[in-house]
Amino acid sequence: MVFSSSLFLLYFFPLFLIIYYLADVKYKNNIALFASILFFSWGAPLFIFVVLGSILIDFFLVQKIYSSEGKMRKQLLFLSVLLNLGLLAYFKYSNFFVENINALVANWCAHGIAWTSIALPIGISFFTFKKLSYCIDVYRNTHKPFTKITDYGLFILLFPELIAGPIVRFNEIADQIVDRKNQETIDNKLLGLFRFVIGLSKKVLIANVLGAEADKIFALDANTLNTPVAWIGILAYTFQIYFDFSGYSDMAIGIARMIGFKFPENFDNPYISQSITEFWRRWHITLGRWMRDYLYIPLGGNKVKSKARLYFNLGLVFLLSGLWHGASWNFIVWGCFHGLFLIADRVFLLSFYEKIGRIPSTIITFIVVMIGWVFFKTETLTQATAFIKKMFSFDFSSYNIYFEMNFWTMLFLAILFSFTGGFARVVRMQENVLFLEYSLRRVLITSVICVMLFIICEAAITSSGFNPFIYYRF
Amino acid sequence: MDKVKKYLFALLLIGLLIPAIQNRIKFMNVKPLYGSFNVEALPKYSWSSWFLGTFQPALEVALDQNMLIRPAFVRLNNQLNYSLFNLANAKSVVIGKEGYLFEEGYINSYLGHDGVNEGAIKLKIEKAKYVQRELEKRGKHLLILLVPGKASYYSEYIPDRYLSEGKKTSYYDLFSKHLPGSGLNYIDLKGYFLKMKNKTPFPLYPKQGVHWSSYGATLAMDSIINYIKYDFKIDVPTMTINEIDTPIETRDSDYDIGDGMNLILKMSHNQMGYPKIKFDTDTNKIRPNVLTIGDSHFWTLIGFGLNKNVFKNNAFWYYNKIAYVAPYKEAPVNPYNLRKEIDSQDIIILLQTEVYYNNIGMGFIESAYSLYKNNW
Repeated sequence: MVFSSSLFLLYFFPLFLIIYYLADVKYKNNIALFASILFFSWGAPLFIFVVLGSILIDFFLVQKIYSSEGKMRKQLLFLSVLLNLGLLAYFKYSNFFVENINALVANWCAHGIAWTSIALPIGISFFTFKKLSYCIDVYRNTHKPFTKITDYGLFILLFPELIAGPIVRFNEIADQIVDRKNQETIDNKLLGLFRFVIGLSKKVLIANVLGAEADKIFALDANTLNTPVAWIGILAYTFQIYFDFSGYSDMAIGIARMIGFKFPENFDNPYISQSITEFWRRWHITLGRWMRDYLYIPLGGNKVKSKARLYFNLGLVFLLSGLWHGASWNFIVWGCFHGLFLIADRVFLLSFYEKIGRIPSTIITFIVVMIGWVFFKTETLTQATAFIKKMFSFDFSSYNIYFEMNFWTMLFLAILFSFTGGFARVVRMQENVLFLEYSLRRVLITSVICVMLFIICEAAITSSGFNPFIYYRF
Repeated sequence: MDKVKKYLFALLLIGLLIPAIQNRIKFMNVKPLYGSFNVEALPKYSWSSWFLGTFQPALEVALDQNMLIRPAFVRLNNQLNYSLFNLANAKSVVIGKEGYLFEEGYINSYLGHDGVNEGAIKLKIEKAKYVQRELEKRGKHLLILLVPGKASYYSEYIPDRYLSEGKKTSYYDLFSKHLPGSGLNYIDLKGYFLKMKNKTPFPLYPKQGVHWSSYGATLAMDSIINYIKYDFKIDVPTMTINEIDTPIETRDSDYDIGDGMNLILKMSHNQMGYPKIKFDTDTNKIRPNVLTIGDSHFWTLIGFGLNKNVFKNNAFWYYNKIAYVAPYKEAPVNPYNLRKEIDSQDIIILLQTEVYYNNIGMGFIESAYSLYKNNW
């Protein structure tokens, strides 16, 4: 079930909220857990049993970690991490691993491994990271573990962020899971609803329109394109992925706020970044922080003895970050590509950017990000390289392709919304809209706007079969 | 202040349930959608369908399609797309200059972008000639009608993006080259319509319809009757136009693409004329048995009563697939009865719109050719 479907918007969402609000406070978590299980099993009716089983094991294992000391504590942590990474490896990476082994042995005319492909369960990358944060945070004594298994189940399965984030870490949400009475204010409910509608509009009205054209261009043989069409294609995808993913995060944050949770922000105007280092502080923030706190810092972080080791750590983190996004060479290359620029930032790029100024460095960074997205969008490295080649081939021969006015309009709006975040006044406006309390007058005006946007979005959803969520692949 | 906010929030929440409430108690009248589309039935739940994951997507699709408020949502979406972006959310509909609506296939046929094959056309003409000769031996006639496509009639309104490749040789160009002098009986209605353009009091094609207008159909019908009368020398009943209605709204199929766009507001259209036709009722006139094989343009002529008043047997084989025989009951065309069917006719009309010029007769010529060649 996706948020931008009639089933969710017109049935699941309102019914859940009504039951949730009418229920006594002691039942609220159970209602949210039941709704989350239903939500997850809708798309993964068999895999839910694996998840529930792993939640059960994790819960007791982590309690044991909490009560143990010394070597035993470490061993239990290792077991818990192994269990969760093992599940992720089996369900997400085994197909890729076997395919590559078979391709390798085929060169020596040997028989490959007989293998039946495994379907990728939705959201596995996201909830695995949450589970890891739980056992590691408890191991580090950052927070006490849950005492009720239903609370832990709710933390892992909470449906707003279950399948596409933001990746909420245990220590950020543990207290809210247990008690959030103070957060269930009418202002939070209204602002949460507004945030949800903003996210829905980003996804349905902008991302879907741009995505349709990006798909059209990327479906063509890259060798037959000309340079402008290739750039339009990657530009469309660049904004599609941003408005799609950040729209989803807005919806998740909005629903969570409506039921008393405060989720961390996941995006902060990423396309105004002046370096790839800055980009990763603004793009998928919760993943970046997770990688930093649970991988980069344990590897030594910035406090390593040699620069070589520092660069190795950075490269490794981004290689794994690429692999986290998907089991394919393209994602690995995408991760390495970003890792490379992060290293380059440390070596010379940041000082170069400082010399050339804000606008040129933003443009260069944006182009680097766009080139990276080519690997993200295409299925194979051959397709990616052919596409990038076309982007820089300066081929201006005529090409018969037509883009409707709605595409240009949405592209313009996407550019406007993405880049005006570089102005202090716009940032203040964003903060004003998203975070500050509303006066009654403002609530009324925003309600009218949101009702209109919601109706337009639902009209678009019910009229169109094209409604994919990109981040469901991960 | 919080109280007002609480009421407002409750109102917004209930608002989300309006479509579900409408499905239960149907408290609003919603204008249904026009056109052809599938509506899936709600799937039956079973544990196996749940665990196989087939129930869930089927329910999502069916819920969407069975929402009673859906037509209102679709019309709103289409209206916004049309009004803001000049975009048509209907299969193959192209919005031309000044709001003239086309179907893409007709534009491609007019521009010769539909992959013309001269060899195939020459062969088709040869076979048609053979069939015509065999029919004539049996005292029967074959008549081919080349009906124009809307894109030919309103070529000046075709969007520029279709013109960038330029106009190539079209099927019409090939027929214009090979039909004259072939001996085949045909009426070039396309040429006639283009000649009459701007000379008639009302447009021969409507701005928002794909088929010829009522006035255009009247001209076509008059041409057919005259051809039968003067070239086949059959004294069929003639027709006269008594008066012409000029209503504010369009009628019949004059707004069929517009309807298919399922908008909230009606688009501005040209003033159309609707002739009131009177047919000759002289009992001495001959009403031949006529079988027409063709596309939907013929429905307008049936609507005017051509079959009923000029022809005797009212037979229409729609796309050579579905047989409509008075009183227009549907039945599949049965190729094994072709001999019997031809035997019972005086005239066989092959009516083809430009987009189907590549397949004149829609298989009839080939079937009849085979029959005659096999010493029928």
